[in-house]
Amino acid sequence: MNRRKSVAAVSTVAALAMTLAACGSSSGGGSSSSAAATSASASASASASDSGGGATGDPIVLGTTLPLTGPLGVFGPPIQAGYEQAVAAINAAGGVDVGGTKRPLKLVIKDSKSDPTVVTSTTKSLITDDQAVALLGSVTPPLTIPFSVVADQEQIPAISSLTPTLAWKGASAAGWKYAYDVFVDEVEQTAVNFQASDLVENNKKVYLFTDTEEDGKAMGGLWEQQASKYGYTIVGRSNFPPGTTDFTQFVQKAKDSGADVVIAQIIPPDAVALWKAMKALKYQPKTAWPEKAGTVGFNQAVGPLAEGASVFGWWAPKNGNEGGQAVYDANKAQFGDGLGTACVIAAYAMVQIMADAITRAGSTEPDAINTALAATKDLPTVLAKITIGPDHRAVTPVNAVQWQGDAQPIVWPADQATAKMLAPVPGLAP
Amino acid sequence: MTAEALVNGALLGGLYALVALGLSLVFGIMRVVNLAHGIIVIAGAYFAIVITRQVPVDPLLTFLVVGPAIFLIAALTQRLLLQRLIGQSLEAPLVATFGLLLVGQGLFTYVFGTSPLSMSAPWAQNSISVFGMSILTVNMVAFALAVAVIIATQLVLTRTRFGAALRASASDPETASTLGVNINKMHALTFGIAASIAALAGIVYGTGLSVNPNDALPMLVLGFTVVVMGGVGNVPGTLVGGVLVGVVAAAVGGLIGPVYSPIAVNVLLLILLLVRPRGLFVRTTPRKPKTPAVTPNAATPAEVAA
Repeated sequence: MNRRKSVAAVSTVAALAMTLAACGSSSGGGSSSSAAATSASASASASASDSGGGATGDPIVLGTTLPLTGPLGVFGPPIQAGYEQAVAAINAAGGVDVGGTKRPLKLVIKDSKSDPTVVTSTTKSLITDDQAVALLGSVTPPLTIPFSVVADQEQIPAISSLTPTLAWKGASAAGWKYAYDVFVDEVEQTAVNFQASDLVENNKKVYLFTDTEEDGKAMGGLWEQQASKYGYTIVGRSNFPPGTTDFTQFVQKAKDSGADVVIAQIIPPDAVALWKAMKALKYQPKTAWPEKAGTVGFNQAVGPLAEGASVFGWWAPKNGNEGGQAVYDANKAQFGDGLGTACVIAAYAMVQIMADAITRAGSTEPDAINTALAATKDLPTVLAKITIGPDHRAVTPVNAVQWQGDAQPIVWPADQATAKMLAPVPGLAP
Repeated sequence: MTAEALVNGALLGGLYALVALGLSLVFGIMRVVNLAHGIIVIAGAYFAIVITRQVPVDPLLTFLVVGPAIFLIAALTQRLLLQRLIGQSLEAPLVATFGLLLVGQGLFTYVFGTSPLSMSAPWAQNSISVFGMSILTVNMVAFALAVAVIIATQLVLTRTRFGAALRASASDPETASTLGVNINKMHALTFGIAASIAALAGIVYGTGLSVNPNDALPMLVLGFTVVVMGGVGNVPGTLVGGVLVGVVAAAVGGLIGPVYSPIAVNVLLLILLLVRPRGLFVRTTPRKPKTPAVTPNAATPAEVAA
């Protein structure tokens, strides 16, 4: 092979690899088929069922596609655990009463690889190949929206959590018909950063680091809108594509702006890079919020630098839930004393809501379940008391948690707080 | 954009060069496009993470164990797998190395999960003031390592008998073989050395930033970008390519916005492929038409014989 051919070969392969990487690393919507999509090594398909407890009828198939691998893979295992534990508990208690017959639940799980394209294909597969009569969602708008689109197209009831509800609602101009979302409202969520920052004395100046994914754009806009309402000023905002590694000059900008509050809405690897740059450049804000990234495993990712990083939370022992503490206690050893276990709880509650709807429907016909789901009112779950609104959203209470050691105690609101907020952010001390 | 940003970008380019160097070596000497390169970088970081979790040492010291371990694994992989495929077709090593990448990703996902992990070191959490600019020490360490490794590699290739044998095995394998150069051994050593350099890059990357199995493909793309810019097989050009990527990303990020940094780097790459398809630092008219796209001053069989 001569030199020209060699260079051409490298160039061709480079272009191919760039295409593959662009697709494989995307967690935004609209990406085409990818290396991850075709990767057999990373795929996973599992099913879980427990027909104990006296259930006699045919299993009711619930399908879910979870990010067990890929950039959002940290969320997959706790969601999977929540679904499996709820199914096991319901089956152990006799199954779901469908028109007088106790029927066990059967859970079918597929790996979405954190890829919206794979979410679409696996959700369709759950319906057509696995005969799922109802669907359970995963996490974040980029994954939940394509999942909900398939549910609406195929007219199969689907319920999700861990997906801020306004972004999800806004993705369907005509309104969702078969899809539901049970989680916090972004307006309340973005207010938490300001309200909780008020716990410590600060200069009310905020610097935003947001990425170019849907939630980065939407949340950044909401923080900008909400700041003045709470007496804060956004003194700067830097937008980044996912995968950014060099934050140096933008951290310097934030430091020069004198912002006492840093809020970031970026994926975990980028947040690690951002936190390390802040530490190296000796920038120690009073409060710092690695939203999305700081939820699960942030302490493993950045070590001691995580100390004092705060994020919004969605579960508290005293938020009106029923049985949540038992699920929390059973899982915190595995998923941590914080939001990892709160993911388990959110998932667990989705099964409770769907099982309740099936019972009230008295049938496993999708339309009957859908009608019953829409009528869910004051249902006690391990997450909170759930009422689904006419826009298919159920808005749950929000709070603020902070990394303190390996735990994430609640620091706001005061009536639910389990620890005091540490400030300035200890992990970023020069 | 400030001078500080450009200097930090340029120094970060040293890390990019370190990531790319092994890719360039393997292609230059073995003519193999190693699609597994990204996962080797990641492997270096994960090996170091395992060690630092057991023994609280500076991550760079783990290279004393990680470097030889990765060298051994890579050399064995070359002897047992790639050696059988090289020369059969262009596609066979491509598919094999891509398969290795996927296997590696699956393995690391199984063992470590997909959450990013990183290591701590004092040099990765500090900055120093130089002429009023805050320079990240991690960038300085990365650049210094890149310069040291690139100079050492260049010296070995051009000033030692081993280097002459390597260049001869790339330049004219058949003749070199008749003169006593063990081509398979040269290829195994090349693959092992390149993998060790990649592992060193992984250690620095995993300390300064973080690693997760999904980084393998972006790492490969970064390596290709730097290699193509600097010139395929051109060892010093790798450093220049890395610095160029770092500076362009920092400049565009500061002037227009970080959203445009990767776009600018890729546009620059495409322009270079159009106007300098062999890279910035490779002669457009080779002195010897049959000299392959290898290392500079490819050794002739006569040099080896001497």
